[in-house]
Amino acid sequence: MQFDRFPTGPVGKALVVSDRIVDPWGSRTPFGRGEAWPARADVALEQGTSPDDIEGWVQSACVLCSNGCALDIGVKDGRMVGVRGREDDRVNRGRLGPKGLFGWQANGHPDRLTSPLLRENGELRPVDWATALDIFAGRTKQILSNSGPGAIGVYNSGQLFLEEYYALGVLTRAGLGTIHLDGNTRLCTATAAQSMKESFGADGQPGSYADVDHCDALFLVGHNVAFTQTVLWSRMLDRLHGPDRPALVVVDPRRTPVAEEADVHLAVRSGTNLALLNAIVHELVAHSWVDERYVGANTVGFDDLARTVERWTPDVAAQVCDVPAADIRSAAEIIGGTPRLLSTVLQGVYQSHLATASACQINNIHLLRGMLGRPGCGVLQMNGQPTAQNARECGAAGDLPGFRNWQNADHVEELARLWNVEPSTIPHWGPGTHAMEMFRYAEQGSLELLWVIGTNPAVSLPESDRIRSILCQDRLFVVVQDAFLSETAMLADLVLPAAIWGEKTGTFTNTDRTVHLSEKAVEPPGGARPDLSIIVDYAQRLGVSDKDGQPLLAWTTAEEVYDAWRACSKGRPCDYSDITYARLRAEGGIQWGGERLYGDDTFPTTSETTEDYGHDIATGAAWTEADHRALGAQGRAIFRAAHWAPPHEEPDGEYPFALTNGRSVYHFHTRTKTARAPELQAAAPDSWVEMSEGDAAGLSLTEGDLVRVESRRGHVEAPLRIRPCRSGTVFVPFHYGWWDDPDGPSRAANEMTMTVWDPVSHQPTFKTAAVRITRVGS
Amino acid sequence: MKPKLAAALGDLHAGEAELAREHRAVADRHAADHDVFHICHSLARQCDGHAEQIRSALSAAGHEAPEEGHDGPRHAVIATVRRKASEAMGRSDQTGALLLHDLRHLHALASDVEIGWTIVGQGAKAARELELVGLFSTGSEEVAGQLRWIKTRIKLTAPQVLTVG
Repeated sequence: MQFDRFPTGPVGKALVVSDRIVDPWGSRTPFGRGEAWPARADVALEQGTSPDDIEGWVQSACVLCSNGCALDIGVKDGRMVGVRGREDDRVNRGRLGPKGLFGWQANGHPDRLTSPLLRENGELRPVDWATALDIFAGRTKQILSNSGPGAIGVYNSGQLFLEEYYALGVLTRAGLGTIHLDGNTRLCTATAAQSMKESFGADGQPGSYADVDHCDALFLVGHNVAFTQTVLWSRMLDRLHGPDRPALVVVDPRRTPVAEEADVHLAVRSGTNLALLNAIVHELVAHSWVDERYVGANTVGFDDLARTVERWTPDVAAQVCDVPAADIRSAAEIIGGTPRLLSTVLQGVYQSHLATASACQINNIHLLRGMLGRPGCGVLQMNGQPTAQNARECGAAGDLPGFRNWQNADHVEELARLWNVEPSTIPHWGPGTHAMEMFRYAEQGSLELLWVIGTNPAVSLPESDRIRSILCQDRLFVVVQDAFLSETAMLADLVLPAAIWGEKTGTFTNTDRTVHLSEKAVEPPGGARPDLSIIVDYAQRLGVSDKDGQPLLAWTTAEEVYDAWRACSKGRPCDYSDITYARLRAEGGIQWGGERLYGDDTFPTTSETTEDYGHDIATGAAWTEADHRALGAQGRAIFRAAHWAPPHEEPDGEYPFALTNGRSVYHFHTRTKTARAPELQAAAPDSWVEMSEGDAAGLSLTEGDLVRVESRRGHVEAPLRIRPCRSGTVFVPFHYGWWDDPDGPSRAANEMTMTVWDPVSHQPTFKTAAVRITRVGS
Repeated sequence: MKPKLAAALGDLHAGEAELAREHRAVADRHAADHDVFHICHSLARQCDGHAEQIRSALSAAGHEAPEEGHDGPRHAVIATVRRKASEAMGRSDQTGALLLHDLRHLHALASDVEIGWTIVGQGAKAARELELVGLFSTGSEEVAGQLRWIKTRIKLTAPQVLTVG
């Protein structure tokens, strides 16, 4: 296995038990099926600090991917000096990945924002908090009265704490009254949520990480788990290298570390997941590898599914996907024959063509085989970000809080009662405006104020040039709340410095529904303030109130907000009512909903409970309550199926290569934090372009050549790496923007991506674009 | 096939062809609304498919098939002009109102096509034209899906156009 780049010596100041830069997954602790995953204690301490020097270990969990590894933060003299994994936690059993071990150093980086900044005469200048928030609230009130709530948009994150999302959702919906509220989870897990709403009636992960311990086969679709969730991959590797090795089927256009371990690796052409999955389901149906009792008792829509996949034979799919039909058959045999199947799905599906239909087809596999809710039988529609789950649950990412249905008047009334406002106050004439549409309104000029919290759309949204031009408009007032001066903050009119993880208390929930409490360990730098405190202060300055004239956000501590959320979630699928701060302190990670969902074969699909009446998954046309009732699901899961159709842009004579993008194991998102951790930054300091040996030879390119990758929308320049990858496909990492290299060559992958999104989940399609390659230097 | 049933199919063909043209026109006029651009083009292809099936059904029954609608080079030029204009106009606050207007027109056309399918379907059932009944079943279901999408998109756009500013 080759890594992105090896450091040549000690580059940072952290000391770890083993070099987790060279080996991101650490030593193996193999175990057999049904056994407990052995613990392994991972520690990183600042050089010169010994465990005896630590004055206090503060309970927390890692926020640098969706895994949510439990850890303690080591504090000395009021500073963070290290982290250690919590061995008793169900998620990681003590392990930490490279980002967890090193990323905490970003907290203490001198680049941290410590004062609000206001743009005056074209330049951002420091102002005090009272001035900043009065300007923010004043501008808001002016726009509300002149143009109405629809002129205000809130675009937040997958990085806040649960309490902050809930408070933000209450403020935005019942205070500002705008329907334009979304999170950057739109880019990351909108499809996961949507597929679960379509298939099972509500968001909520059916599976559990413990299913890794019990499964007989793993099916990883578009999920390079070795880089995205290193500790989950350690768990899988420990099964793969132990007794009773599970079979492994991998779908990925690149020869990733995961693909290296696979029994069957399907390196499909970008944008063809659905054709492949339809063929696998075709095989299950054709060979009757179907649990007929389960399907009969617990599902609706089988006939439609069978009719749709009928023509998707392995031979037909092999043509579309450009993989051997025999490999598709082998994969289907493993999936159809295994007694316990765990499937995992991530951005290779969610950010690719026909995302929701593809993710639903993976849910369909588990419904067909009756493999949900039992040990080893699960599907993990993964999250990318650490707190994406909470953005979705608490209503900061487009959906109403508590997986409530905006089309269901009773659900809206419940919220109105909880918040003591009139139901008509809460926007519910449609779903929350998705991020891409919000930016479209800003482009048209009907959105006049955009509040961006904890995210970096200038680098992370598709077609960067378009996004920059939208953010730069004089007629749009942009407020950015962040810990660092990101590329987006550089374009803002007002910047609010935020405290981050370790500097504030709150909870968050990982991919497998495990809730952790993260306690405040140190003070934030300078004037940086917790997001919750900023949200509540802004609300007070706006004077938003309930129908009795009392402040709408009457909270001062995170725990008070959390208790309000417990009441809000009670009785809903994501019920937190019995998970208190006290229990989280005493027990560590606790899953809401228990170890697995749907073990009782009952799905939240009655018209009264469901989060969503569903959609036509080919066009995104919304179903009404009448359509939903006519389907007659009433507690049974729903098969959704669609035909594959070609992606919106395919390679041609002018732009002959398919562009895909993804991550480095050492970085998260746009490197806002990870580039400020010396070991991580040294391991992957700059962008690169990956292509196969044959393609490189065809263009007379060699390793290290500086190449220009260009689409119809923009280009990047970066050195070439030759790596195993399907022919005709080019890979560029998406992390690199320009904050640390403003005069360097263009390197943001999104300069090249196109503005297009899945019709159902509205998740942008980052993984299909056509590009051409030229050599510009060596 | 009875001549009157064939004539009804001919009418339906004309409706599908017009709907396809209008989908393409709306797509290109609203190229800066990227979902409209892509979905309208794909719905236009769906209409092309229906028209093609109608032509085959008429030919198979020995009737003269209507001509395939040819877009030709002139149309390609118009489409490009529309697309460029919509990109240039993309920053205007009038684009929302225009989109609403165009989607409303599209909805009227698609409703007409849906009723056309109902008429043909009933005729086909009474004439025991079983293949045509099969065609009706998919065609009417798909155009109903188109109507649902158009309505979904109108519901998204209307509040912003009518209440903001």
